[in-house]
Amino acid sequence: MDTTTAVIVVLCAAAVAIYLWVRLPQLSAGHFGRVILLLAMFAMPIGLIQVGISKSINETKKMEFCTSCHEMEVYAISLHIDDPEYLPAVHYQNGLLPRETTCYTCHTDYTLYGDISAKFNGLKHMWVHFFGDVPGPGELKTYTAYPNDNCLQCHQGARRFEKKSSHTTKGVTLEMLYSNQKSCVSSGCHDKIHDIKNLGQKDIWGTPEFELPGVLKHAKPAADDPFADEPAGGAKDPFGEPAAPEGGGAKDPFADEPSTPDAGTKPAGDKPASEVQNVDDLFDEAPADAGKAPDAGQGDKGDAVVAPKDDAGDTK
Amino acid sequence: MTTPEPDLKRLRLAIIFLLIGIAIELVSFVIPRPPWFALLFVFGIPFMMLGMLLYASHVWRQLKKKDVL
Repeated sequence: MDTTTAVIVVLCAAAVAIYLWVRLPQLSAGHFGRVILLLAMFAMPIGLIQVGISKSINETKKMEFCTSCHEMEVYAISLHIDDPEYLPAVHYQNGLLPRETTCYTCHTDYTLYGDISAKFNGLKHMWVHFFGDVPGPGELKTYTAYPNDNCLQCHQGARRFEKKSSHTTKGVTLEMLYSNQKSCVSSGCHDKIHDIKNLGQKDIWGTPEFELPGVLKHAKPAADDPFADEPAGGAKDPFGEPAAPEGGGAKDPFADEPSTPDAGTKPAGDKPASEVQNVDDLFDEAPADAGKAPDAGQGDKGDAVVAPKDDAGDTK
Repeated sequence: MTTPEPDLKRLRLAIIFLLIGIAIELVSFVIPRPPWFALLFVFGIPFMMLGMLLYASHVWRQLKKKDVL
């Protein structure tokens, strides 16, 4: 039911309730009036409650709803990071998720009660928003390690997913991924998530709906970020504004950019942004293929059976 | 104008609860923001259910009074 219809239904119900108030003595005295009272006081509220619940569940799935709390705005901006290695950004920018319900699609556990638990988590968020101490930008953590099921609801069984070499080599098996023994967002795998702390250093694709907070605009690059995104040539603008190309004119985020020559920080076959718009190219060239796939025997954080919170959290 | 019977007062209270619930629901549809949906679930829907209960108790009392039950 769309919003206009729902509003009309509720307005009609309000008119009926006012009519009941005005004509109550007459209605309660006659047989026909009592039937109207029965319908209006018993059947109508049941319908209204049903409409209210279904409408609110649908509305709260929307990204617009999530970002109505200001602390979530930076996450909406991070969907515009102009780097195909960033998982939420590449899914969002290539339309791999429903644009209207982007947050909900990835952050709702793919289980029978996933929707319900997501709603309860949302209530907790609201409590913290109004009555608690809201963590600063980049400090938010997910309640639990990000479950693979949320990725697998789309990727499980997909030919490209199962044939991808990094999903079946170097200590990783499909069974481990399917059974959540190895987190998809482990270090060395798909570990570039929202990266809020370094958002100020990223090039931005398109026009985000929100403005980056000042504290992030002036943030220094994180020292421990081995994937710090450096342009191929020239100094990077610390304020996140795309640097003008040498030839002059505004920088086109789709314009061909030379692949970063440093194979240690970029996949060997990294594609320019324009080519990555082809989804096949994107998934064929994952960081793990560039020698960064976790080694099961090394014991670093990428080897966690289930990624620790910092790995699995979305706010690295 | 005659004073409403006690039972009608109960019914009027039920209508007030219903109207409050409807008002909150209407606002939450027009302004779909977290506080309004919280109000809908904390007050709006419970108030509508309370109104239904009051109406049911009114009917029950009427039936008892007429010795139908």
